[in-house]
Amino acid sequence: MQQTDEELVQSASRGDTDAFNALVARWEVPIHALAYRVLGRDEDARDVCQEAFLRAYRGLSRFKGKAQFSSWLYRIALNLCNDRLRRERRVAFVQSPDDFESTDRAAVDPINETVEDLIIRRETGRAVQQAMALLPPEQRTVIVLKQYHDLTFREIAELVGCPLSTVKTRLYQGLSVLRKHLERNGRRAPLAARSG
Amino acid sequence: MDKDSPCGGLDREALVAWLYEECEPEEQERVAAHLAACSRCAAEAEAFRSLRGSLEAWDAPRPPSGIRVVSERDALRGPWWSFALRPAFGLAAAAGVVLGIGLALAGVELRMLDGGFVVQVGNAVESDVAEAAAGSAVAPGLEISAIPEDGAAPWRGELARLESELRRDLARAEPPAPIAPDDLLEQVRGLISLSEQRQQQERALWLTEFAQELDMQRRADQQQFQQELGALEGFADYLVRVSER
Repeated sequence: MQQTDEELVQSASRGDTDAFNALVARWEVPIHALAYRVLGRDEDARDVCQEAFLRAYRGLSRFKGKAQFSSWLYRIALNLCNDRLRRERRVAFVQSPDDFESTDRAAVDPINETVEDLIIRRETGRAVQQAMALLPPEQRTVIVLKQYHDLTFREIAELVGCPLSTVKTRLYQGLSVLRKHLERNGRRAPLAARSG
Repeated sequence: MDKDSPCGGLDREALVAWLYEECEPEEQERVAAHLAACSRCAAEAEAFRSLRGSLEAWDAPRPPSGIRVVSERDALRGPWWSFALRPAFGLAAAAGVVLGIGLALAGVELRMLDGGFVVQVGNAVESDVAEAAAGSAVAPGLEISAIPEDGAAPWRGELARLESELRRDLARAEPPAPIAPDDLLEQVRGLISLSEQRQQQERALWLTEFAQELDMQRRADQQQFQQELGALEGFADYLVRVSER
């Protein structure tokens, strides 16, 4: 039977490196995706992901288990993202599509999509990425946590440290900006998403 | 700041909570009822739902999964040959080399023969060694050790016990479930077909994008050509007008 995060954390805090590596294997993809969508660049996301796990490993003894391990990890990653955003405010958000290899794309495309759907999906993805770059980091973070990580409003409020109503307001404002930007550029939802 | 929906009858917090299906049942009903009655809010809600579909198109690349924590002991352990660099091993190896050279110079020969060790010093011949192993008189220059008088080596019993344990363990171990050749073949065919499908999809995608880029380039060239042609025509008109004056 698969061990829970809490069991793995307990083993890891006793020095079991394999248990911690199991946690890394479980949470590496979501943490990297979170950093990528908040920061907009793959190499930054990799750095943040690595640093987040390193900090988590060093801080295992301080983790009391009151919160979920995933929430704790998300908080570490978000703090690192915020530090980076503050430091590099001048740097453009949007990553060149050339940096995103087609093999990476093939790994996430459903096999039953037609070529037309794939193209629409890819172009829509690029447009979404560009529209996200227009948002202030606070709104972008809330949208990422809600839309791509399916966190509850309460979890998001605790993670970003603001009232519940602020989370919802940021979400509404961010979605409104995205909607206007995408509509202006004539974007529509990909077929797979529309039918789902 | 305006905190309400387009008609003012629904607050935006309720709208996003409804959109992500995260409100109390009575709140959900209230929003649904309002949307059924208000076309402006219904249009906005529908636009947000469609937007959620678009947002799903933004994929994140997969990380290279290179993060791994290793214990200090494992980190200090180098490649397989690194033990040869340790001082203790170096000393032991040097001692072994010296001993080997010494034994070779002294003409000492060590053999394992018929259940015992035979150490030969000096110039004993092969027949002497065989005689010694058979328990006959000790030949001059020979020293025989580790062969018990009854001919049974003590480690034989240990070896027999180990063998029986191994056989018992092997018998106890469950044989792996046999895979029907047809099933295996089917699985392999499925994998090949999936891989081919992916490759075809990638190729078609690349070709379509290439065709799109080509078409865009062609249109841009055409536009530029027409602009230049227009400029030339303008210039030609100007020349005609000047020449007519």
